[in-house]
Amino acid sequence: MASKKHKKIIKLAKGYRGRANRCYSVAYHRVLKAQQYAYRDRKVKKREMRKLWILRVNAASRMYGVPYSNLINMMANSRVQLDRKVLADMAITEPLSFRSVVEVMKSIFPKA
Amino acid sequence: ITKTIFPKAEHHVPKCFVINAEGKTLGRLATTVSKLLRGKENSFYTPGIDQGNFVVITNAKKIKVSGKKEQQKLYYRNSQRPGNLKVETFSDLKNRLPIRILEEAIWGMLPKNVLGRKYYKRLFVYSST
Repeated sequence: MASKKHKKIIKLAKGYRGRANRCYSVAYHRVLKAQQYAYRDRKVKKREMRKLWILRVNAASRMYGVPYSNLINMMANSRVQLDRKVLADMAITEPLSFRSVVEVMKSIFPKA
Repeated sequence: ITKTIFPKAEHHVPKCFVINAEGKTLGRLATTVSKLLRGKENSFYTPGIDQGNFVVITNAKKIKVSGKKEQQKLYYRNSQRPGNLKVETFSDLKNRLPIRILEEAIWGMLPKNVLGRKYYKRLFVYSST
């Protein structure tokens, strides 16, 4: 019977507003859209996270006088392979390590 | 592999910054103030969370602008009634209400959303000390 298919969709529609959490014909469209958004946002999430790390690294490195752009340039020209996620995490949980990374970069590349 | 940290709004303790505007350039001061208001100098800044600080600006009437802006920079206001567009120059506004100059400048630099309005409420401008 159709109720097996219907139950599957309605189970995915938990928490939706109005009849969309109860009635199959309304829920079906909402669930389809939700799954489209989920597919798209799994890719977007990676972009958003990187944006967040960049913001945080920028804030943290400016505390030591180095804007993000310069820091990344210095890192690209050196053999340090720390990525933005690690840097951002270091900036919050281990600020002294982050600071030492910045100072090492500054000492290798005194800004010309 | 660690997960990226997302702090909660309840844990945030705002700081208070007091800035003397005497002799400072209007736009340059406003950018740094809007950054402080949003809390962007924190290494744990998260865009959707209110992590801002308080900012108190003193000596607003001594703010400076470069070039001929004292006479040429215009401030508009409108009350939606036809014919009621009022125009004022920078120097007129400075004589009438100097705090309005800094408030307008910083309002223009904050995001125009719920959080931006919240940040704006943490700004306090005084024309002298």
